Amino acid sequence: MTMIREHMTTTQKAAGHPRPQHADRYVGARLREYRIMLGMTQQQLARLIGITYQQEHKYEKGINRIGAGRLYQIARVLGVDIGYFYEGLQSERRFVPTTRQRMLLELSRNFLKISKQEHREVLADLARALAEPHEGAMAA
Amino acid sequence: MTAPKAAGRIGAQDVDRHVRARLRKCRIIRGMTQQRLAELAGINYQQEHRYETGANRIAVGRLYQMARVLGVDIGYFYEGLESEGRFVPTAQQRVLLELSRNFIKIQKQEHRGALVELARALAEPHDEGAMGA
Repeated sequence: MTMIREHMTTTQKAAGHPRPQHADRYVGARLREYRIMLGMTQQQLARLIGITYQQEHKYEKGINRIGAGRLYQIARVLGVDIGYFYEGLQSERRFVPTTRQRMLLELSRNFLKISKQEHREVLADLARALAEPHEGAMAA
Repeated sequence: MTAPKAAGRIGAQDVDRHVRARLRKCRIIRGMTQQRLAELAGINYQQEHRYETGANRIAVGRLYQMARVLGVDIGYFYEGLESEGRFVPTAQQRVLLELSRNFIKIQKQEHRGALVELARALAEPHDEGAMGA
């Protein structure tokens, strides 16, 4: 929900909005998560963008801030919209991805090692079923 | 006007330039002075000026704040940039993406754990020792 806040006072500004540093870290963490979702290594992504692996690592960890232009390149290389990296920033007070990301990383690595296509599909189907809200009335 | 690097490949600096031009444009449309925008963003006027002239690069967190203060979506600053030549995931990557997205939505920790276990069991150990058993 973006509203035009032309008449916002400086005191209102501070109320409950993520600070830039927080947003920087959040975007880095979202980037990491999406890269893992694609089964890409930091090395591979770095090569696609034309930066070093170390730099990519620092972006994801929030050690280096990502420039506006750099994020565009990353978004293109990953095939997502810029907005993707900011999703949830307003509501989630902080990004707590570590356990989830670690599991996701393991899932993704193993997925890529499954040689039978049917097995990969079974896994995807199961995930879909488990992700559904409890009704599940129209499962195929 | 902008000089794209290799064919179709747009450099980060080119995009930075585009973004700051859009920022300036939006500020003017809103009828704000640099001073006013700086005040709302909680930075000093010089800093805002350096963003618009390109002396300082705008990081993604700052851009988010600017978008909020100006009442636009983050995508606004990138509008008008070429959109062709985007990465298209392979069939396998698409399945993995869907799997991952659903995985993240799973509420029960045990269900997530079970899925990870299943993936591990189905994975062929073609490079042993890569990540331990």
